[in-house]
Amino acid sequence: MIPYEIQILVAAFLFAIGLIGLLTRRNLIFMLMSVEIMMNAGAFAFVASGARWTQADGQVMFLFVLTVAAAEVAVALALLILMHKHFKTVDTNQLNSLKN
Amino acid sequence: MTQPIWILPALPFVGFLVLALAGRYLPKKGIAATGIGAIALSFLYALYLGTAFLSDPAHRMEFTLWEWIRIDSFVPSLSLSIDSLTYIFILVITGVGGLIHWYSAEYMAEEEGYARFFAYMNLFVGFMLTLVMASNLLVLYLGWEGVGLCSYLLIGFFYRDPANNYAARKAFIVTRIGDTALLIGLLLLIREFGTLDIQTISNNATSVLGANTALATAVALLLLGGAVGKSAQLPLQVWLPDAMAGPSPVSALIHAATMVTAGVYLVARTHALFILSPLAMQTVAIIGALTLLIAAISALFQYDIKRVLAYSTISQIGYMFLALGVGAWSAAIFHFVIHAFFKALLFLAAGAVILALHHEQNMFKMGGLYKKLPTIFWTFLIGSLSLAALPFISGGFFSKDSIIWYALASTNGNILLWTLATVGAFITSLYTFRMIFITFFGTEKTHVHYIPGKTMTIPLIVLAILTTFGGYIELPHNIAHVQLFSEFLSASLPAVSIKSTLPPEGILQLVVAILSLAGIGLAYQLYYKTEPTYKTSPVRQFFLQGWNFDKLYDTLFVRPFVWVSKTNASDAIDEVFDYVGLQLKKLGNTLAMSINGQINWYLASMVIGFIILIVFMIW
Amino acid sequence: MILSYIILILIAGAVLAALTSRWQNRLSFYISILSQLGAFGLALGLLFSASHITFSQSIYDLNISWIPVIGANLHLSADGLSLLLIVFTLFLGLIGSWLSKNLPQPGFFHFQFLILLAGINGIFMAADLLLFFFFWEMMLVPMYFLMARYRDTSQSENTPFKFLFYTQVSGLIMLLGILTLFFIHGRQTSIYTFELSELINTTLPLPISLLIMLSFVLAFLVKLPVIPFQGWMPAAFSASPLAVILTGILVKTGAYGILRLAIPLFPEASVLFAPTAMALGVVTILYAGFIAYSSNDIRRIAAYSSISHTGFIIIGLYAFNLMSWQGVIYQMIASAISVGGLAILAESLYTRTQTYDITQMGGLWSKASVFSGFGLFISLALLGLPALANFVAEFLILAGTFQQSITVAVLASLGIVVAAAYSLRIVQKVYVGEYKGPEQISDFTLREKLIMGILAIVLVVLGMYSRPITQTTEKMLKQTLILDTEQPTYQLPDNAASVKLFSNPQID
Repeated sequence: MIPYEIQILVAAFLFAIGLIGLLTRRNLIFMLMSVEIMMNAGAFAFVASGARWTQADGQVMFLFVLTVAAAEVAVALALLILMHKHFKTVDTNQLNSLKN
Repeated sequence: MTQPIWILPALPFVGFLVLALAGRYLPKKGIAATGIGAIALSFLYALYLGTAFLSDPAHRMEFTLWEWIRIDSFVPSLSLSIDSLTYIFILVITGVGGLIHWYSAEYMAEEEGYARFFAYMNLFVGFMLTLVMASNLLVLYLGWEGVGLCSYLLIGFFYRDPANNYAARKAFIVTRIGDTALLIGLLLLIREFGTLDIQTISNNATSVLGANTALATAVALLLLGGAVGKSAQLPLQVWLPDAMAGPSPVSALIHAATMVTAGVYLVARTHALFILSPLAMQTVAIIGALTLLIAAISALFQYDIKRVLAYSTISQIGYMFLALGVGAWSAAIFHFVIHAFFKALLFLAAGAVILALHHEQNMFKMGGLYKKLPTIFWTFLIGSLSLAALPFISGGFFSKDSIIWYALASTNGNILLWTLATVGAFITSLYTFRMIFITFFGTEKTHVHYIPGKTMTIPLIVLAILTTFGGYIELPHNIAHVQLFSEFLSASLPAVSIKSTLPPEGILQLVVAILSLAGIGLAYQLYYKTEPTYKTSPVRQFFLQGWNFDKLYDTLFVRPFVWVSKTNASDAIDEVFDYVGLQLKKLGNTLAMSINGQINWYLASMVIGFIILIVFMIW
Repeated sequence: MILSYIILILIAGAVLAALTSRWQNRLSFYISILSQLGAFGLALGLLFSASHITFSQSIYDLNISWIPVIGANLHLSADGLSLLLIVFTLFLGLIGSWLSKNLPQPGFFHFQFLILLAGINGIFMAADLLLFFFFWEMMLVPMYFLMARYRDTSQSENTPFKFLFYTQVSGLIMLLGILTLFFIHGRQTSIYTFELSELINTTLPLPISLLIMLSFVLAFLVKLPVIPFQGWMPAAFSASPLAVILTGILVKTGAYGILRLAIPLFPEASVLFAPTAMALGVVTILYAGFIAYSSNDIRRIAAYSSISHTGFIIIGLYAFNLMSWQGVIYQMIASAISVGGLAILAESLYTRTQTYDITQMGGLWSKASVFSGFGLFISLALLGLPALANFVAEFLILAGTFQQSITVAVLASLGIVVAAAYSLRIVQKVYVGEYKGPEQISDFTLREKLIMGILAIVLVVLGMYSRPITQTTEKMLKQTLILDTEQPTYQLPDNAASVKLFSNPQID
């Protein structure tokens, strides 16, 4: 078995990759993908913990996260398409009409 | 006794209402008839009341209209009363007032606002009657301010020229300063007596205020402050010369015969309070004496005929104050009556001259008029003789002479006052005849435009007769024993107390008489023998401008006031709050910069915030 | 029950006016006038028996349990003072409505206006402190909306905010005071109540009493307004034409609050505060008068003139004297009418000359003499000419104050000279001199003549006959005085005669 700490480290690493991607990307689609990565990282952490303490809850949480992620992606992509229709762009630098 | 004496002031007020509301729809004759009629009716009614009154002058007539204010036991009502002092004033106000209204029918005929003029004049007479008939000091104050209002309206009658309105404002504000002193005096009286009823105050004066106390002096001096403002005495005399901006009948009625004597009335009416304070009496006398001299000297240097008369009025009222100050109460009132006759006469005659020369007021541009305007000349001359107090042939002699005598002879009098008064008499006849010689003699510099008609000349003649023969009702003791006037007043005013050892009256009278004649003689030398021309020099400017009191007040009061007012015009306190508000707004704007619509920025801040939270939690 | 009708009629009118404006614009105006007349008639009728009823115990009282948990009741009550002020408020309201006949969106306007009137009348009738605060806040919101909507576009958009902030902040502080009083009373007597007549009996140590009193008084001083809280008023006057009528009504709530709440609840603290209050009053009179003299915007002159009059009110209030208190009530009425008159003239001038700046005007008398006549009349009222109500007011206040403090009375009298200066300056700049202005100018219309005529007649009648006002309020004022003089900590004047007259009144 891979030690628990390494597993959590991997999850954290994934989370960080996702976070950096979220913060640095300008394109909304890539931002969404980064959010996905972050969510998966979190789910991974749950599974790893479930395995560490041999409880089924970890796997159950993973299923939850996956469902929520799917739902959220559906809504987000729908919004994205509408925004593209309206503003003709998905570049966050130009989508700033909520200003002030 | 209770008679409907309220009709007396009511008639002019009704006249005012009719003219104010319906004046524009009436023809000229109708307007004049209403205006003159209201005053004439008042005069006739006063005569009618007089028949009841003269049979026993000790009686009072009273009438209370309604309760004005009621606070517990302080109940000033609208109460009117007539006693002998009031009655004399009523006769002068309505009689002389009536003549002036009659005169104005022709004088103002060509001017715009005929109805407005008579409306204001009637309103004035109404308020003046209220003032003298008031039986408590609050009603008196009502009349007091009312006549001040009418004075303001009439000085600024020719409203198109802003200078006139400025003069009116000046008059109102200067008198208001005096009025404020009077008001504070009333407040003090309320505190001490609990009432403003004049009779109650007079009867209880000694017990409540005490003789010769600081309180009594304070009350008297405050009342004096009001009197000084209204009567244009030192130090509030600066408004009267400028008040000449109004039409001549206004100057005659308000600024010669009646309103400016309201101060004299006030002091006489509240004599019970003044008697309690020798200091106050002395102040009255000194103010009178100084004013009469300062004004007389100023009159000597004027070139505008109306301003000569204005300073002359200030001076003559100074004589009245002098008389009041030495306790010669009825002598002061006597001079008031005679002065009303001859000063009104002089103003009206001067007005006639001005009108005849098409609004020329500079004496040095007149001349040679005695042939062209004979009636006016003779009436003017008669008035001037009275003003200069020529012995025996003028009423002015009898009234002024008794004042000068009492200035020395009364227990409060002294040689200094007598000297000032006598020198004043000399200067009076000097400036008076200077005025006559320059205006009526010499070469004619402006041609006569218009000869005034009967409506203007008859009142002049009536006044001339009154001023000549009016004096005979009160002769000095060393000549004859005719004391009709002071006997009539004895019910209202105390007699003057005289010193025990006196210099011979006859000799002093002679001195005064000689000086009056000397004044005429000097004027003859300077202004008849040689062609008068107007010269200026710094000294002459000083006296021309009334000893520069205007400049003094301007620097001391007006400039600082306007400066403070202008500097703070944008309200410094408000600006402080505004500044605070502005800073807060700026702060808000700065904070709002963090809402820049950039999604990445929001995310980054969320992450940072989260990290900070975690750090706090671990620690 | 009957007292609540006054408020309910107004609120019903407000709702109706708002609803009907969808179909018929004109209708809301008539509904508004009708409901105001109804309330006015009701209040007037009550006024005739007003001199005999006592606050909080009158037969007209309405006392319903509101929030029993904290002891708050819907307690409406009235006495002479309240009814007089209500009648006067509704009178001014009628005039204000008449003036605003042609404003856009009448439905909105009348809705806000009637709610405002209801709130103000509620303040005069509230006998429960929480209810009082409720109505206090209730009058702020419509006022803000009216000012914001009908704002003169040349003014900054901050002015309604300024008004709101001043009054809200002070209101908040007052709420803190109310709550403190509530808790202290509750701890003392274990009865938690907001009822005014109960709270008057709380015994408070002087420092606490002073603090709470200050929190109340702050709100009232801002309302009045008094230096240094006067900032909102000039802004409000310039912001909107009808602001003047509104403020005329609003500011009287400040004086009422002091008379009804601050002085009875905290007598010793009030006496302690009196010298400061009087000093503030004198400063207000003179400071505002000076500014009025240099102002060129006629609305600004009106505002500062009103503030100057308020200085007299605050002096009179803290003289603790039947005479000065009668003067205060008189001044509330006289000041509102005369300053209101000036504002109406300002609007009429604006419609004719398109400016509010008096240096651009001149010589109006030659073209519009009726207008100028009224203008002169109003100026005379502002400077306190006898025979008009303003004189009676200032005279009574000064006479009463003189009993307490000669210095204050003398300094305040100087205000009379300053008033003459700025009032006559208006006359000089606007009505006399050479004519400056558009070629064709019309004199007063019938409507303007009627409105100004009514105001003028009221001023003259009240100036010559004081019974209507002094009679109705006498009883209430005397009772409040007794409450106060039970703990006389100030020096009475030595002269016994005047003390008897003015400090120890007998009740019939």
